[in-house]
Amino acid sequence: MLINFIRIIKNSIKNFARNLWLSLATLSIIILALSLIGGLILLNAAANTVIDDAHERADYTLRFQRDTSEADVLIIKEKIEQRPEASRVVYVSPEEALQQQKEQGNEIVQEAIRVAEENVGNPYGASLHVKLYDTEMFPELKRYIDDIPDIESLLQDEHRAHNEALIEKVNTITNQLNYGIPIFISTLAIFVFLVTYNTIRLAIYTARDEIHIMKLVGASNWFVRGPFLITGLFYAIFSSLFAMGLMVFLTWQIDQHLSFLRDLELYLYVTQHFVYIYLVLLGIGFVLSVVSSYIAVHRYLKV
Amino acid sequence: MLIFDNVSKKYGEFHALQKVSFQVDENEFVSLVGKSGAGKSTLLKLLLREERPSHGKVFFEGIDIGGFHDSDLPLYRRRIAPVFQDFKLLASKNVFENVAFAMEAAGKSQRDIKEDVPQALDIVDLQSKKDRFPHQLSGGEQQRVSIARALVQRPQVLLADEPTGNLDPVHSWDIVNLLLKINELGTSILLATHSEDIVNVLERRVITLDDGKVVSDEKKGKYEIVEKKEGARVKA
Repeated sequence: MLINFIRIIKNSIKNFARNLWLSLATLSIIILALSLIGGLILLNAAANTVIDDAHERADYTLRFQRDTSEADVLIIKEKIEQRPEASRVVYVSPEEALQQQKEQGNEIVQEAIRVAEENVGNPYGASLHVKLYDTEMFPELKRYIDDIPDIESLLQDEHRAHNEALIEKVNTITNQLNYGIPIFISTLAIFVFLVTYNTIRLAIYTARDEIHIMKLVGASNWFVRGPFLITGLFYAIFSSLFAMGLMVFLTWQIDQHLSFLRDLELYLYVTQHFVYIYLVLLGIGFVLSVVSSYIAVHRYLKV
Repeated sequence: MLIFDNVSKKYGEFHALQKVSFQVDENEFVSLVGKSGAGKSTLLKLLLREERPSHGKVFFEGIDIGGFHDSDLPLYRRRIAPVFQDFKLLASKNVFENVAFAMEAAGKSQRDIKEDVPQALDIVDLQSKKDRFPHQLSGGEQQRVSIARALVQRPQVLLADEPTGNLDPVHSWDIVNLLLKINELGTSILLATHSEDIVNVLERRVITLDDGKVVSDEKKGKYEIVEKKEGARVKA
């Protein structure tokens, strides 16, 4: 048993070396396939980051009229906090809002604030920033808030409409990404699988006569199949290592040089999920090369 | 040892073999003759279990080989080593490895391989070319490699399907002499050929096939193929 296993490994190394160009071509295709799949993993992570970020930014802000009392706002805050849709409700007083705008606003805003203060005092009312567990829950929360007695007279209408539209837009984009990204990834993954499978089939097709001869001189199916599977395993390990290395290198380069993509934190994602991503690539590489080899050899073993 | 019991083989409507029955005993040298398409290769394919009979049975040492499970086939094939007209060598392996492969597949130890392969290569006079690949050898040399490969299997029967078909007369006789030597060592030989000279010089048992049927089976036969010409039977 052991001697057969050693012979299978020896034969697979010899086969690789003696059909070097074909072996390297097959290996290159698998490397390309796994690198593409690595790219798809990153694309998925980036899409999730974008979606999470959009959700994070899309909090529902209720801006109150300047004459609304703090007590009224805090009652509403308490009511909203009871709701299952709200994860956090932050109260910003008119004074804090003014201070924030003074600190963060540009020169035009600063000038507008100065003019407003001279004429009417603090131009800002109090506000409640409602963080939702899920922006999909927004319609329910909105219905609840709309039903609070006299709420219409307390809120600034214009801003509220703008805020609602923003959340709906985030929801629409999120839904599109949630459907679109998996479809795109699956389609590309299917193409990658088909190209790789056919490359391996072609490589084994060139060895069909040898398989036939081996069977006729009394080799068992496993003795014939073994070297192809070991070669496939080697392809899977080497390709996944190469694709992983490429992924780390490219995301590191992006992190260093492409500032507009830095917010996606792809390098951080890759380093934090290194083992997981490697195992996924190795698993896919295994299916692509070892399982494909098994299936491709199988048809020529029927002698 | 080998029995063909009323064996027929059909490919669609074409009858490659029809009700063929004969027996090959231990240490026999049997020539199987017949014109192209007579059924010689089909018969050997049935023996190798590359094909199964449409009707009838083939027995090896009393066991119906049609009943072998796929996992039993390698063991069986190691006992009936084949030699082909087109040599069927592994192109990616050198001479030594081609011969050693049959032993490796049989799970033989490395020590046995190191002993037996050089001996077999000595017998076929190819020890000096053991590192060459098939494409670096002549036809005759390639055929000798395939005989060496059969030899190391120490088979009970050696099936030779037109082993001299692609060789010139000198190399053909080399191969025939090797087969005789192997037969003297105790292996039965089933030689499919249409070389009249070889069959006549051998003076061994000859089974003649025509249109898939056994038309003669003689202990010390000659090459006699009968052809139907305008209703008459004419010796070719």
